[in-house]
Amino acid sequence: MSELNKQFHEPLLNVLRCVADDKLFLGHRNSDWTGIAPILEADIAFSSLAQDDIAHASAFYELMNTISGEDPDQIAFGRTADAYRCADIVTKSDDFNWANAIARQFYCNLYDYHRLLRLSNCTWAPLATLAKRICAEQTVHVDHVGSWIDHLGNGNDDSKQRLQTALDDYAPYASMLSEKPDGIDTLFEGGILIDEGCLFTQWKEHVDTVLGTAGMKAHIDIPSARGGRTGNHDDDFALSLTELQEVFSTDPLAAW
Amino acid sequence: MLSKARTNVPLATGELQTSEVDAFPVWEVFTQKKEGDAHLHAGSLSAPDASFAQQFAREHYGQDQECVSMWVGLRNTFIAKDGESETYEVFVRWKAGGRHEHVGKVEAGNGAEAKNKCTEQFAREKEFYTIWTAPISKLTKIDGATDMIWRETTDQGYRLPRGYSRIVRQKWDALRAEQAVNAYQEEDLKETF
Repeated sequence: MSELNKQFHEPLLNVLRCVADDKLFLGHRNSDWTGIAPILEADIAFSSLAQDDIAHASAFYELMNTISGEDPDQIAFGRTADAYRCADIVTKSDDFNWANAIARQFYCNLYDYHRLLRLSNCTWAPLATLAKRICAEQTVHVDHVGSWIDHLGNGNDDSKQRLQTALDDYAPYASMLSEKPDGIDTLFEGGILIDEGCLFTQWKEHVDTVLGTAGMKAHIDIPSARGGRTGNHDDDFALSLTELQEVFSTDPLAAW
Repeated sequence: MLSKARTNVPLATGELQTSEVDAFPVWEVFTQKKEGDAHLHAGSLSAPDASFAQQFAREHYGQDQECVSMWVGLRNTFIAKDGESETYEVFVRWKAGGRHEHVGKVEAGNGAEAKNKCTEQFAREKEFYTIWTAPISKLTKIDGATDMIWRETTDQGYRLPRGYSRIVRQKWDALRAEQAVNAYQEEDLKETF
């Protein structure tokens, strides 16, 4: 592995935790739809995208392993709640309402895309390489969820109303995505990551553009408090975590 | 065991009737495994329009290093006899149970003419089962250079049965070895005492 000064280990691990935990839990929640999505084709596609998110998370946990030496499965499944760094939108229950699932997916997929784009410019080559490859795949997620926004937003009164309600319900949670990870400033100052200006603004513009063509709106503010990114999670997260760890915790040392 | 979340699945939501979903048109998908290969029929799916058909096709038949190019078109387009004067892609299924294979292009005034020209040019004196044709303007083509995204990043082996085989075999081997040792020890004990 190319050289990474020890002072950057923990800050970078923390940023990677945010990225990977977001994807792990989003994929986990989206896989709830396997077998019950509104139409068969959407079911297969959504499941495939969920697997993708989990696989992406796994790739990031493996990268973390090259820094910390910690077992990727342990990182993914073996932590206490306060050690996870995902934003709580990824675990916010969709109540098996498809519009909710699409709104959640939309905010998260677009955010992931812009975050990966920035990580692609990381000066630590292993992360830049991985981020570039995942970012290319992330465009598929962005396109796919964009189709749903387009169809529901330009659909009938029922679909418009359902989507707008879901977008409104998830907007406060969406802003949590851009809570700043601890240590990111150290990485900017150390030249590991490039500060390319406000990620929130860039993401919000993209959100507004896609929603604009679908006649939808989102009122998202810059987060005023910090939650998930500091390990402070809500009840929906706790439920997801218990479920996620259920099998692993039966035998934490088993080789899967 | 089912996910706990599943215990809360509502029995039915919304007013969408099954018949509406069933009424979605059927789309045919062709994939090309590698440059130079013919596009082969990969399967079909139902979708309300071309945009969704393309999105679903990408998830179902592509992106897992399975193809370099994908064509999607309405089933009705392939079997139509009418149509406009333009270039048609033509596909032959050589025998029953086989898959339609792209054999070339023809200029034709409509679907029927395209099918006749396909027979003359590509299937003359050969046995074949069916011919499909599609005007190029009615096909969505997704090509490697532009839109096709490969999922190379992540090991997709877990999607396939063989993705499990090595580890599962190791586990079985270990289990059998352990049982063999136990059986041997049991026999050994019987003989000794």
